[in-house]
Amino acid sequence: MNESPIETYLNELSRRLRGAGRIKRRMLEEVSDHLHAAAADLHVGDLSQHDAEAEAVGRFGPVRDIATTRPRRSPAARVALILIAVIVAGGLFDAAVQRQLGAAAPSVCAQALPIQILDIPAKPGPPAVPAPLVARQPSDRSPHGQVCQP
Amino acid sequence: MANKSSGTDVELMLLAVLRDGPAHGYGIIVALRDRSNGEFDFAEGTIYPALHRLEKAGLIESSTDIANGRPRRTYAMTTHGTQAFAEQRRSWHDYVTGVKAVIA
Repeated sequence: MNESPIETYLNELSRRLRGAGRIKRRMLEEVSDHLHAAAADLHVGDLSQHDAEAEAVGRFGPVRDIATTRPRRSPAARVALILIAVIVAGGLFDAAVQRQLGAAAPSVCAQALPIQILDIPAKPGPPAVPAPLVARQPSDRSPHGQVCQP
Repeated sequence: MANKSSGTDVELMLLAVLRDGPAHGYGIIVALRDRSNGEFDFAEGTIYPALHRLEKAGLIESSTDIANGRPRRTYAMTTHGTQAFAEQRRSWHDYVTGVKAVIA
């Protein structure tokens, strides 16, 4: 085990640190200077260079206490989070549009298209035949399910 | 027995050390340990987040030079920091006086 305890510590800290590059670089520089200064002081006594570095690292404290410990998200997790955000935002947007259209229901009814496409529920069983488009005259219900006033 | 201090206490002590003149991180730790007779012997790395908070608040400022071939950041108190330290020290003394009166 001849690996420098300080270098090992700095490598671990570098892996765990989060944030902008210059902030990370600054922190690493400060910690490196601190540990080397502390090890130099300890080495003046009876400790070997390796033991002095190990003691300096021990006094400095665990890496997790220094670095931000927020776990790094995998690419798949990031994509999932983006999708969830899009779905939630879409739902909120849709709800807002529905509220707006609901408030303006009479005008929507008045401007309803003469031909409406009806949703045909899927039937279990044989392969699906392309769903037919069913035309109908405007009814007394708006596309949003609200009753139109005559 | 080493004491555990809150973040605010640590920041007040850091300001107290820097009131005596600029210092780098390790120098601040040594000063804290010496001046408290070893009472405040906390994990040395914990002072850096506190120093960065103080700098962000404008109470201290830092500059970098080269020492032993490595970059070394030195911290110094600002005018704002001097004023803030005086206020915090007064509050701390009031608090200690109150606690002493209660537990005496």
